[in-house]
Amino acid sequence: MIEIIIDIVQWIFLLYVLGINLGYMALNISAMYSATKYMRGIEFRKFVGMYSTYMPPVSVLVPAYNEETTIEATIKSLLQLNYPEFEIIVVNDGSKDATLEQLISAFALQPLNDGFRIRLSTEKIRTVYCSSLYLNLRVVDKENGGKADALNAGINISQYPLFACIDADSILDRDSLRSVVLPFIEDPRTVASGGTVRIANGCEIRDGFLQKAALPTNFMALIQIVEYLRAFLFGRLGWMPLNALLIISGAFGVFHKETVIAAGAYKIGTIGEDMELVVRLHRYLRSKGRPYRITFVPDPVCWTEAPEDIQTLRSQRIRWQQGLAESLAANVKLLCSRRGGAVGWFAFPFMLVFECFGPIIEVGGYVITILGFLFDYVSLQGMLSLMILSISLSLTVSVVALLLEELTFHVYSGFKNIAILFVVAFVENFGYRQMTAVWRIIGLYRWATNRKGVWGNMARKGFKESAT
Amino acid sequence: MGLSGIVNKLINLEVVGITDETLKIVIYLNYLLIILTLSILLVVIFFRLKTISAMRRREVFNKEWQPVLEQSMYELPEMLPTLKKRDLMNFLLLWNGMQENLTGEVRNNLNFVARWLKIDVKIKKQLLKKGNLSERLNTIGHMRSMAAWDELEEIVQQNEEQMIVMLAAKALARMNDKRAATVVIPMIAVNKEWSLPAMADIVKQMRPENVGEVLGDVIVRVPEVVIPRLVRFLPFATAEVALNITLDLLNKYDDPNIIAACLNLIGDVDYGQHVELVRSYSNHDSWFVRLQVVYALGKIGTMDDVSLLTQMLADKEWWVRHRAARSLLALPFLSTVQFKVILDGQTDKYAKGALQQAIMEQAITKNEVVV
Repeated sequence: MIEIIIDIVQWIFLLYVLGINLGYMALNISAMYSATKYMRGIEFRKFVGMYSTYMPPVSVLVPAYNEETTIEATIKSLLQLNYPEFEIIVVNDGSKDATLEQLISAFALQPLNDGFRIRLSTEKIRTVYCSSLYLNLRVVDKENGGKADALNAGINISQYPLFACIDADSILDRDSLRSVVLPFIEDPRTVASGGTVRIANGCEIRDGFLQKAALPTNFMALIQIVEYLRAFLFGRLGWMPLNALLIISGAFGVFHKETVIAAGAYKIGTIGEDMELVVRLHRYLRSKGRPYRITFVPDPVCWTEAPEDIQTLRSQRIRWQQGLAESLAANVKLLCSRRGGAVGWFAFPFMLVFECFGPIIEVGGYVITILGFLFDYVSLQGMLSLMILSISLSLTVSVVALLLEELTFHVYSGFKNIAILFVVAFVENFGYRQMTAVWRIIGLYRWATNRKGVWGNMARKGFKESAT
Repeated sequence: MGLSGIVNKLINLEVVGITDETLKIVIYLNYLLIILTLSILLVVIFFRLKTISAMRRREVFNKEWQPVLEQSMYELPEMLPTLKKRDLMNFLLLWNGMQENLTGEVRNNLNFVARWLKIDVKIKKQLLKKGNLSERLNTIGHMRSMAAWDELEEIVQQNEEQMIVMLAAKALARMNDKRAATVVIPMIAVNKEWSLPAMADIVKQMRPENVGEVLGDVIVRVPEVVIPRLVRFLPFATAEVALNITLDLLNKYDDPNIIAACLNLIGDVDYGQHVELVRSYSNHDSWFVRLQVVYALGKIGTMDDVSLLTQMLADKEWWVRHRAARSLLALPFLSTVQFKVILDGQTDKYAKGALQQAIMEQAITKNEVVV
């Protein structure tokens, strides 16, 4: 009996490993197509980007909670964005530290008596401030309600047809808004567009902007670079030709405001409010039969600090998994629905089976195989073969991500960096992957036990500014 | 056991002594994946080597050719270095880069150098081939060589890649703007997916009289839904032609999108002759029409429009209120005192808010700190 159970579990594990990696391979091929097509059109995009007359104005929403140490620098760098017309709306979501005071003194804020239409209900807005120094900067001070609530408050205040949501700790490229808004000009059906987020650890930062990309020395951050390459280069680019992109990172995304409001805006109390919104946009627009496009640009437009200690990484991954499960559960009607299209029939099931419940199969497979081996139900050869298969498949997928990076922006120059990333892609299979899979199971458990979303708390080292 | 013995054992799976067929497949799959992974890694390294080598070659090329081209802008050289076939793309990049930033005589000198090197002939042969077409198209446009007109027209009408079509259209506009207008403008109406800023850049290269003539002809033949898109190109025609077309459209259509586009244009090109017409739309149901009314009144309005703009400060749409406030503030004949009277007279919270915001925005633009 036990042998049969072990056999079944091993088969499930084997099929899971093959399924996820074959899925990744298919995404890789699709991503390769998208990447080469994108790079062919890059000159055209530069050509279009030169003409600012037709760039729609954008409201940049920056939700902030306890960001007193970084908020001033972040806003100062945002004010230098190379974009014809934009406003910055910082939403102080009831911070307990001196975030608001920092903003008031740094930007000479004054209370603004302008009326605004409340289109989305949020926690009470205490005051709206306007900067006396910068025409396009406003600050909303409101009662604490979470990131989604803060973003909805920002949408209420925003004036422009497009809004960008940006994490208060993100470092943007000067041309990032142009890159991410261009799909809206190229295709009027576009309702959302995201950009590639890269890891800033180890990079040279000056005046709030990235000067030179480099690999970090911290091993944990290095592994996350490979993860981000996989997630953004083939994870996003791969789904793009099918219009089945389910995630636009909360760190940097641009949305069509009226469509977002019509779909119900950000869902209060969620942890993965960024993904939930995108999945809901798909569900809403498909149910209405409205042609739309949710897209992604592979340009490295946003840089973020990755956790370098296990505790922070653990809580981040738990939160992400919780957010993923929440987003899929809330929009389960999209799954294989009549009007679901590629997103309902391919992307959603893939996410559900391999990304959401995958960690259970993965960890279960490891545990049963090892136990089976210890109690003589599985041969050493059998166990090793399965493990090696899992590692080699994962390594192949990572190397294809490196190839995509090489085909597109080859941000990390030099052969040494390729060698480092290859070694890291290999080493991550021994412990790191298993460890994150366990954290993801904890995330699923927290989702199942209905834990409410709170602002993510990350221990930041901060960016090292190089001398000017 | 020698190396061949080890390889045999690995291939025959003797090392692990597996008999189970499934595991055999798994192990073969492992071998396959390892080979695949290493091959991809080699491809990555190959691409990196190619990039580095191309960069070095371009550096060497630019070092030799940049001074030559810079010199030729002022004095045509007696001799030119040999242009190797593999350096054609580097030449086009450098040459086009210089052309983009130049005007007048110096551009002609650069064209002379390109003709001397028979660049147009070399490019024409490859024009309809795939590959890095953009630089070739740019070059043909800058050289204004009519030799490739037919090929370019074919690209504009038949190519499916937007980038290529745009560059070919731009090249046509540079060669002969009148003829290009008849080819390109009708296609703007047909191809809704074409990028407006890119098209605007191309139409901008044509003389206003040519644009007006073709636009006037096309606009009466297209479906209603396309008209607002075409109206956006009217500012590139002469003001008189643009206004005539606009007035005809306003007479003929009730579609709010067409009305809004036309009012916007009147605001930009009119000198006040049609202010009454603009006012007549101030109670329109569509907020974006009302928005264009206040926009246009801010540009061409008279003292009589102050009360209308003041009324529109209380519009139910934020955009209209905000624009009405900015328009009031922009009226050159309205004194600060008069403006203050309007501000103090507002009982509507939103109207007051809109005016205060506009004042603050103006003060910041003028670098005055509002206390």
